[in-house]
Amino acid sequence: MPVSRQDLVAALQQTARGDQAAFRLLYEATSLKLYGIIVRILGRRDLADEVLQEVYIRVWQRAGDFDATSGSPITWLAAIARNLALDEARRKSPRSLDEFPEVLRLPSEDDPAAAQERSEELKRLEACLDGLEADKKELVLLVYHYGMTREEISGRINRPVATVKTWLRRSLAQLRDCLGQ
Amino acid sequence: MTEEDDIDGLVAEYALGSLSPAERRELEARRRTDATLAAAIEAWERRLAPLSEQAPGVAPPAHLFGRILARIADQGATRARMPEVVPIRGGFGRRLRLATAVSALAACVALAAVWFGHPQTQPPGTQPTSVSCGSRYKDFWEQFDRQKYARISAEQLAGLSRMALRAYDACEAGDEQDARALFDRLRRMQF
Repeated sequence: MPVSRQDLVAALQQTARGDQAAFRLLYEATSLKLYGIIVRILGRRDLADEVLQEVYIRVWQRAGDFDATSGSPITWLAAIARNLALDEARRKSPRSLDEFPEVLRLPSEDDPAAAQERSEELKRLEACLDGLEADKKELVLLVYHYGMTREEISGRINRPVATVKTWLRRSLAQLRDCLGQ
Repeated sequence: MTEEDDIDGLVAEYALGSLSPAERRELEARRRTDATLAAAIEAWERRLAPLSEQAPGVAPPAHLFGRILARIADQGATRARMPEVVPIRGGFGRRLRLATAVSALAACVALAAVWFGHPQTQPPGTQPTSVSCGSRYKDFWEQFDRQKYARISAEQLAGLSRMALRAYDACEAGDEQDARALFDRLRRMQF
């Protein structure tokens, strides 16, 4: 359900006051996205179901913490979903490497449907990611989308954990400088 | 590399998702009391957030929203008692977790009382599923070493209690797959 940022802000503010109809609208507008994020990190629907419930219970309890002047509602919600999913994923560590995909599959830029939906922010970030070496870019995306730890990456690419850490931090610093914010 | 660079690197890795559980916990604890750190985390979450657009959405099962509402209703009394304690991030979370733990424990005690108190009131054979769900729930708490209460946090205990109740609910509702998954998960938990 396409809902404007303004609608989401209003729904969050009403949710903070205990408005269940606004909470339902918020769920309907955002659960597809948040569940997608969680399923990707956890790889298991049963665990994802539980985490999604925790996410919206937290949203219900803490909607008043959202500050519309400092961020977008979807960023705030996605951060809650990612953090709870990452915590859950860490609980069953170490995960087998078989649990991760062989190759990273993301909607490609050649896909017109996907291209249409790309925000200006994503285009800018992707341009900066393209400035990284191809293997470093893939590492960054693998961690973001699948929540892989340094140790898991180390096992996957057969490099020391310290090297992985250095690569990730350099890549992230390069992204920050490229974005200039 | 200066200390400041290093902290930004740590925060960046937190937002990206590559930190170990111990590092995540430490940073989350510091975030509650350190406003500069909290702002740095939010800045990194904002920088990386557009990547979420790349992940395709997935429709959650239709019954989940109903479960969320039911769980919120369970906590309704808690919320009504303390709606405005919120201004400080973290502080609220902790109070709420404690309150949740207390209410979850109360629910466990109430449920336990129901069948420890009335073991004979169930006419034999009328509700076999109920009996077995009840004993599965009871078995879990019996196996759960009492001394562990002292070792785990209020938040963990609340989570555990909620999960045990959900397992019981699922079992009662005839959702055997869900119930078994939850009970299995409870048994595998380490503290």
